[in-house]
Amino acid sequence: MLILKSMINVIDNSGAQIVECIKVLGKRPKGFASIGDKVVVVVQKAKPIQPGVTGNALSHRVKKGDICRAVIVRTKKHQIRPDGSVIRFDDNACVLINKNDEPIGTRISSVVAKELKEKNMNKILSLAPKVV
Amino acid sequence: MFNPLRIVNRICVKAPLQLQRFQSGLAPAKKMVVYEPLPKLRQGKSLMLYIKEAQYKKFDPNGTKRKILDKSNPEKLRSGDVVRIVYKEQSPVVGAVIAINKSGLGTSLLLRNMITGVGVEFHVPVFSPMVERIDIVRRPAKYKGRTKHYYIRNTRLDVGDLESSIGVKRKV
Repeated sequence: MLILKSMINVIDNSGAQIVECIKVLGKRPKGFASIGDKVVVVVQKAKPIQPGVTGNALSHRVKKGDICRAVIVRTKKHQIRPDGSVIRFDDNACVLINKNDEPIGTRISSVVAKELKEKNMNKILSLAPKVV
Repeated sequence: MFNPLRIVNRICVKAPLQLQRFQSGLAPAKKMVVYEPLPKLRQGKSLMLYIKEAQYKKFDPNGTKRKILDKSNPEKLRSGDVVRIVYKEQSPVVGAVIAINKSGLGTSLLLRNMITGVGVEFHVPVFSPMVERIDIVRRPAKYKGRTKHYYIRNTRLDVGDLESSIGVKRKV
């Protein structure tokens, strides 16, 4: 249940740690983002880029103040699945993506929900260490 | 008006005549067809009980799921147990039971687990036809004094990474 101003954890290696939601995409007029939805975010907290990183590796990094897109992979709000089971995570998390829905980072550190498969986020699912 | 003569007349004169007529067949007697009583619906069971039993039979033909939830069963499922839900199609789910929401066929378990450092909770409907069986993997040495363990979330009492701990045990 993520809306304007929601703070979301980032679980990829793009460098961002916490981002703030500034727009939920494709949910007008009223809408909140749940697992699999895309949002526009501002990077609020990021790991500093080491001076040695240059060239192609730099294109996979973001810094504080950057505006980018993200896809929600976990929510604290419980989500009911078609088979009647319910899933809930302990935090809200997202993965940063570019405009072609490809992840910016090259690694994902923790578990993601399998609802992403319905949204054709197969790249994220294959990168994730665990899918539930 | 009470007239004794009339009564005497009825008893002594008319009644024998009527009897005679009946016996001689001058006025054929009406034949009343008496049917046997219908069998009782559902063998006399109340409707809700009957539906419930039929549904249990449909969704739990072996009775194993009912047995695990039965109060009188000494090996019943309790909050604090670690279970593995084996599905018919999808991969199994492991988690510690932190609550059992009992409501007949709608009974569900609330499972909690730590997967890659993140707490994950599943509500699993027990009598869902997708659930093949429920295995109790581990029981605690001592049960807690509550049936709902919501308070363990994000405390030192919280469940750990259960899948890895069970995996280690299986290898030994």
